[in-house]
Amino acid sequence: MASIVKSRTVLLMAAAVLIAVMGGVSATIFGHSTPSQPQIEFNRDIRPILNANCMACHGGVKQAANVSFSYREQVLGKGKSGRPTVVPGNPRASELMARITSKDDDVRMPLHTAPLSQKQIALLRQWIEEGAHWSDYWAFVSPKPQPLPAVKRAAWVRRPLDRFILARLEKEHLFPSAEAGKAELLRRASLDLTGLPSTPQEQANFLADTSPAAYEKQVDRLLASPRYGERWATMWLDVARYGDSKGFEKDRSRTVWPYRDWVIDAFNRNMPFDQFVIRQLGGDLFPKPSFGDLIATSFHRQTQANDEGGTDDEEFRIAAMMDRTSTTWSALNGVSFNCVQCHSHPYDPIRHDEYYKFMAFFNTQRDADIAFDNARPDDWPVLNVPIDKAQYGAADRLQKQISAVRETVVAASRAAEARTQWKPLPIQQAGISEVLAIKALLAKALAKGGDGEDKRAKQIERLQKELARAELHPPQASLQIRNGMAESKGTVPRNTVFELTATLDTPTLTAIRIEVPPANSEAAHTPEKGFIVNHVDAWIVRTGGGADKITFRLMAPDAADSLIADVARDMKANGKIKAKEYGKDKTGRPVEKMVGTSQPEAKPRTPDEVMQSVAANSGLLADPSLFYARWVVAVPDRPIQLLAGARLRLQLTQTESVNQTIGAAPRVRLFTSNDKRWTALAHSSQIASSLADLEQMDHDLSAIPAVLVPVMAEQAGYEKRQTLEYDRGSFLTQAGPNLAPDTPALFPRMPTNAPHNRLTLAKWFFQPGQPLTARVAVNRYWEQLFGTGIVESQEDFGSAGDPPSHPELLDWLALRFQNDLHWNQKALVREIVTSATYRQSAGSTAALRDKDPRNRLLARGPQQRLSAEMVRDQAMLSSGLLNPQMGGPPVMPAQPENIWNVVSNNPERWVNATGPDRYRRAVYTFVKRTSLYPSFVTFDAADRTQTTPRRITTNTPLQALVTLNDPVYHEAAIALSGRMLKEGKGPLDTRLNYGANLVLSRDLTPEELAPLHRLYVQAGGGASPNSLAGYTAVGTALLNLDAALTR
Amino acid sequence: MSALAYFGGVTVATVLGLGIAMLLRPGFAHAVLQSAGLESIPISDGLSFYAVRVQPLFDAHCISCHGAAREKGGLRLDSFAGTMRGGKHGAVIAAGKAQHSELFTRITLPATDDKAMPPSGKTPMNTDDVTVIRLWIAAGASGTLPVGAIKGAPRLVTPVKMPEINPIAVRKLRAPLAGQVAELQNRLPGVIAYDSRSSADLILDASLKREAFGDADLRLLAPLRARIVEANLSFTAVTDASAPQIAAMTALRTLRLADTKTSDATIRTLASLKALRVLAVANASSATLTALREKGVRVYGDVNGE
Amino acid sequence: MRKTPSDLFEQLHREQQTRRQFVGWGAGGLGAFFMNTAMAAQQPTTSTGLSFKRDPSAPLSALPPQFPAKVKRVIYLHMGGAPSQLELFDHKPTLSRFGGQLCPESFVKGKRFAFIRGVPKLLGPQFPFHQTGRNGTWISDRMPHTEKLIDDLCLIKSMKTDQFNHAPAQLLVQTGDARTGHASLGSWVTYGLGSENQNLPGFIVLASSGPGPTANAGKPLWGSGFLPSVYQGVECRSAGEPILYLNNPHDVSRASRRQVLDAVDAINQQTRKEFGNPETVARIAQYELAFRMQMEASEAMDIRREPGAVLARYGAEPGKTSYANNCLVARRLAERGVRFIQLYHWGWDSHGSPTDEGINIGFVKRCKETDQPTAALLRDLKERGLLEDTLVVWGGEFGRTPMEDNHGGSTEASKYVGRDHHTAAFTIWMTGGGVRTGMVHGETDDMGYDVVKDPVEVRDLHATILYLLGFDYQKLNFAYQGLDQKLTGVKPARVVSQILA
Repeated sequence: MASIVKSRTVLLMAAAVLIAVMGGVSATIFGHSTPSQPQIEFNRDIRPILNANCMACHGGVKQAANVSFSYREQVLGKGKSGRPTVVPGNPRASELMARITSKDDDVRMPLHTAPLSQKQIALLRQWIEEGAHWSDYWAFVSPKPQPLPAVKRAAWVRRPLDRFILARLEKEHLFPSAEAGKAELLRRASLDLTGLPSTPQEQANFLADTSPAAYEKQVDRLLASPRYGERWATMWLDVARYGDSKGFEKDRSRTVWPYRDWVIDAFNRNMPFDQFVIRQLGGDLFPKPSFGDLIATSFHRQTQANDEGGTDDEEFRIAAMMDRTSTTWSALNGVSFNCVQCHSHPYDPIRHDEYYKFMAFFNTQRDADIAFDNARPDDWPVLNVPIDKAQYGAADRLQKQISAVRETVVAASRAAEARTQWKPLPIQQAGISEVLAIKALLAKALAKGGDGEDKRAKQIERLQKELARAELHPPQASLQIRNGMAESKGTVPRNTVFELTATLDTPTLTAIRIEVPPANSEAAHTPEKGFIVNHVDAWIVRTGGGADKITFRLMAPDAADSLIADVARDMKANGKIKAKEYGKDKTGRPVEKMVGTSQPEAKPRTPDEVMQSVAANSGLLADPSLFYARWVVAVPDRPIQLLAGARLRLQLTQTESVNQTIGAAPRVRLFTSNDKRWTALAHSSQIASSLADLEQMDHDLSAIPAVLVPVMAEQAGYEKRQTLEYDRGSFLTQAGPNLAPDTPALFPRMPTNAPHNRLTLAKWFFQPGQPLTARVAVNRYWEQLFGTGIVESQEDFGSAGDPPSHPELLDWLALRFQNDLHWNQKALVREIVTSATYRQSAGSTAALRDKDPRNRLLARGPQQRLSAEMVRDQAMLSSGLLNPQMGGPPVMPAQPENIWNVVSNNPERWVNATGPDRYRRAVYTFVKRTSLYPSFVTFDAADRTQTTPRRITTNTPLQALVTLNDPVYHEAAIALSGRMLKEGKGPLDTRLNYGANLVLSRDLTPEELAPLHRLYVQAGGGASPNSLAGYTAVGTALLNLDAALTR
Repeated sequence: MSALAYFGGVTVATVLGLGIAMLLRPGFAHAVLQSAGLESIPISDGLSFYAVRVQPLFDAHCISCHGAAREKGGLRLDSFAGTMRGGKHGAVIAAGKAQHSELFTRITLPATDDKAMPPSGKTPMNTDDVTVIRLWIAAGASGTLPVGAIKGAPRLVTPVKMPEINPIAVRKLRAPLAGQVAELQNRLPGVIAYDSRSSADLILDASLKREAFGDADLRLLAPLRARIVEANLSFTAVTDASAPQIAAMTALRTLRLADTKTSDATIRTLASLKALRVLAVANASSATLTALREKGVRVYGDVNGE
Repeated sequence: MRKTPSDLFEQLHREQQTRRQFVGWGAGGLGAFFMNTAMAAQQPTTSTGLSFKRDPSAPLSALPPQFPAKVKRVIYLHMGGAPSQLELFDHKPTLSRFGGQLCPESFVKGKRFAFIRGVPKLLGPQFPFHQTGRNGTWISDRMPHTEKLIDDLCLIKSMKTDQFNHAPAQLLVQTGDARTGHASLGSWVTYGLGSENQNLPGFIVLASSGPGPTANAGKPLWGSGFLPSVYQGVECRSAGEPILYLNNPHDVSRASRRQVLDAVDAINQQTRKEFGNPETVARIAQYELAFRMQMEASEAMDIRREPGAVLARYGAEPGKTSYANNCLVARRLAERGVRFIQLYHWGWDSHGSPTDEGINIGFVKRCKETDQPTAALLRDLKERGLLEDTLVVWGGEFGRTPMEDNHGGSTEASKYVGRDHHTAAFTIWMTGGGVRTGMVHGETDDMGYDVVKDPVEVRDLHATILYLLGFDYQKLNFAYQGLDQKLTGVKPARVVSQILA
């Protein structure tokens, strides 16, 4: 019987299963009514398939058989097969469907690899059936207002953002964790907001405060603390790739710390995020920029500069410019714009030429990888920033006046040159003389006042030897004349004088125009090597013999950089400013570069004397590159009456080098004029007083001890560079029209009523409707506070990056930050850290960890390792060594010797600070790009050679060696043990607990106390509670606990 | 017109057309004669210098335009017959006289010359390839001359092939021993590893374990012996007692016994390892190693090593 | 969706039992605990490359190569500053005949040089050449020790680069890109294969230099670029503390350090129980590794443990920082399973201007400083059978010009002889498993100016090195900013099959 019963039940069960299966199957096939509203969501279902399987050959880089999936019109267009890739609503007519379902290996797509899965093919078919709706990738569609989602356990919600997290948790059948204990919460908030743990006193106050808003009060205290700016500045200095050295081979130091202090101060003053960025991108273009606005523009001057001998300055100017272009997009919009340098973006709809239209914003600045050049200071253009903030006002006024006066002189000169009818003066003879050049140098050295007797003697001896050699070996170079122009051929010696003679056929002569034209019209975007003529002598040679020297009263400059060089040369010749050199400050650090104070003047020179002296020291230049014709107009004291057949003899002295190589002009052309107005200009008291003012103001400025900070400065109209498209990204092959600056079409249009410059661009990033600026900004804060952003790939919000874990939350936060909080950074941070999500305990069950190992759903509080800077600062604070001094030049805490000497022949050395500078916060440590501070590198600090959107944390044995054996941490452990011994009162265990409170901001549990107690005894502590050796071992242990390295 | 006249006219026209075409197109002429059996079809045998050295060059650089799919200039280089038949302007190979061979002239033109072959954009032949073709033509452009007959030809270099990994096939390959491998990897961490992602062969490296790895551990690995291709036992506590274990690793290519207590006793048992190529020994005399050396095994570290 | 860097550091796998397995250790019973490689090998292959996912607590755990490799480790001897190939390996009798005459216009017209301006004179080889070895290979008299091993070397005379300044050129040779921010060769190899010996860093850097100034790009040369920082080179020194912070402070004994670690371990176990954070578990493992690394790294790099005869062979002197010491340390590290050993010797930049760099002075000294140790290293590796599965590469970042360096136009007939940087042709050599030795690959023209046969780009050399290590260069990639970054960059590369055995 049993068997029958058994068999019947088996039959029944089989039937039941059969029906269930049939039901299920039918549901899938027939269940799908084609509702009017499309089922398929392009970004969620289709784009991932296209990106993974098609874009490599049919995207922005390659368009095989001119089929591309970057733009909708291309997808609807016809490929080489002549058939449209996709016909909306009609899969059978779409070549795409034919190709992905074909059986023939040579026809089936993706080509020669495994075919798409049935599910993928079905999705594509359904997408086409539903009309092939295309939507831009979510990141390029501006955020929509998001309604707050309904939740069951609304009681848990503290801030609106909690609703989004809770809604998702409830969907995933998860519950938020309990709120973290007070100790855990305060430690997390203190480290997240200020980069330092809370002190025992702060913990005590918080524990004692039972008011409901106790935690909010602590958050407000932390937000108001000056430590806040130091912590959050580090995040932005990674983005700005801040470094105290120029990078590449020489990697000489660079005084940019005033910019670092500006960033810290901006965070502390809670500068709105849009103002914070606009000042850094375009502060110099404000109608009335403040001194701070100018310092802020050092953001994009953090790019590396290559001072290695023999480098092509234009190549590395362009490298810096391209860095600025891609850093702007990565920092503000998380777009990998650097891909588009060589071809259209592989995934996102950004075309190749749009890269260069955008780069045009950054191609018209005055910096040009300048170093070692006599004409202008290193890293020019630079802002003279006083070390003492009180003198900012004076320095600011002086520098603004100097550039204003300079502009008036240049404008007057250019206006006069433009209205003159120049008469070409064909050169008849032209020669190159090295002997004359060396003789000139020798004369100058002999005449020089005594400054370092032996140095001058050695220089004179070297010049005499060189003179003897030059007399023996004539240079293998010559000046050939081609239709009146002298061109140099062969190897022009480093020090050279061009001797030019030409017959004058004009009765009177009031001005001589000396011009160095570029080789061809292409030079506007692909320039030649530059040149410097630092002195001009001229004679009128009478037909009967004998010559009269012309004294020039004015050398009218063609541009600001030429006038700067002339004035600087004159002041140096008159000992007005001591050439800057490496000043030494009290800790013996050789890197601080001070502008020395000049000696008081014997008797002030009259404007007239200044003018003539400047004229005697003037010339013309194109440094470092020759983009367009450069000229100078030499104006004699009074008009010269010429007899028939009189000849002009001209000597152009060129003894200053351009980037350590010859600075000789490639070719020269001459013109003359008899326009009386030149003589009038030469005698204009306004020009004379301007030149005198320039020298006086330069002198006054140099009297203020200051450092030179590289900043952004826009080229004047007459010298603006051209921007063309680079073929496959190479600057050596540029083609096409001169591109006007503009932004990619994928993004909202730029305002039409404003000039297309950096300032307008900076404001454009923050205009309403921008899809990414606010999202990327809030995502960066979220990543700092929770360890992982809502979009994990902070470096790439494009379609190749990660999708957001909570898209609605991201959009809500972005609009909240932009529209409600008006970019108020502290308000945003406050809202996140006071949310219930943030306040959860980090503890979790194995099941939760199983379901969400990386805590992306945030069913538990954040737990991250301390950043490299926090590890050091916590050791300094807990051991009592921390020197809270803010700002000022970078410092050199303890570092093993000859870490620096390994690289490049740069005389600067790391000198371990012995004074209070040894214990400053990590953000003030000297950042040398080619040899970073070793313990920071081991804890994953950014290498600051290019923008770092986020740091990837690692966990290695070398980190253990740092916190165990690095002298900094050993010194901290000893100091910590001193505090336990002296400040901790009562028996051993209370002192051990005091130590734990200093480091872990909490008491020890009994299970944690026992091992430390045992360690103290083993380490020689014995029974007495005051053994320094015992506490040192405990101190080392405390600083190496996982709990100490976690927040 | 009657059917006969019509057909007669058609045959005359075709013969006439054929004749003119053959005159105009010598290459076409050869094809017609050969297919009609009036002319012997040049054939090359597999071991000839042509088949081994010359045809691969044509395959790599020429047949995409001069092959079955496209016959540019009527020239086909995808077979010996096609090469000798030449193109529409006649023969491209003048046996024995490279300078008169159109093909040779074309491949020695400077790249900038628009008549140069292969044309710009395609991968050019390097100097060695050109030398091979020159030597072949100079030796009479034969299809049967054996490879060795032509002296001074540059070394044959087989281009590198990167094997595609087929995860399913690899899993099948590893299946028989997969369980034991996993189990032994857990018991002796870091000692056993697959030699690559694409094969089932195993590498045994106990050198880092030093004294902690002895004969007993080696015995544990017995189930895997057929698959072990490399064994590094340097610095370990393995002794001659393990000789049978080692000798059973028939697939072994590299064996390292430096700084171990093994001696000649172990070396004598290695004759069975046919695939052995590299052997590093400890306290083994040269005498016992001569047999292995004669078999081409590279031996290191014998007591009075050279 | 393609893999992004975040996948690489995905937290521990689902199977809790591997975690329980870790939890069960006693203080001493750690052994090599890293996740067994079988599990790692089963990772699904990404659409375009292989998977390099690892248990984050063992980021350097060994992974098998893509296909059976010819070599297991690389010793790269980079001669910083660019040694002159015309005074070492590239014999140019025609150039010596034309020495002293002005170079042809085509050598300089439209070309970019570091210092040469105008039209300089040609400079004949400064040292005599002769033939040596079983194939009559031409070599100068500057490297007598290396010459004895000429039949073990594969000379590549047809290397080319497009960078003529030191820092960008060195970055190109070491990281595959002339700008900073890319992963170095050593980082890629340890990312791909991990390290055989878990108690030592996988990628070790040893630098030495001539006394004069050195021209190099610093740490970015051995940086990890976009790869996580655990794969960067670890700087070591053959004098003083081998690895930064390896030794305990002078007043702390190893026993007291063990006590501290036991206390730390006990407390961390509590933290793990309370929070269950996998990072805690990982950190517990790293502290044990650090304790063992202190012993193993000090022993590995202590050349005093080598017999006198070996020290003499290398010319090594314990306690000093020298290329000879570094070569001996390199062999000791190779024996102990370190994956990538990068040596630098700076000071080859013989322009002729500073005294120490002239071809007749500085260059001669650099040859003396490096010849014997390099040869000793090769012979040592060969005798121990290590050369069978080790790849040794020697070379600079570009060549030197057949013309003299008229250094920015100063035609002073200086007594120091110098050449400028030359990108069109330079020479390197390789040897080791899978390399065909006793041969010369590629030729330059009679003047040594251009390559005329079998040119090899820097990315081709990289593709060949990766092939010998068992990788298709296309498949060893890392997804960053939407691109599958590769060592060879975006341009196609070619394995130099002619030099494979």
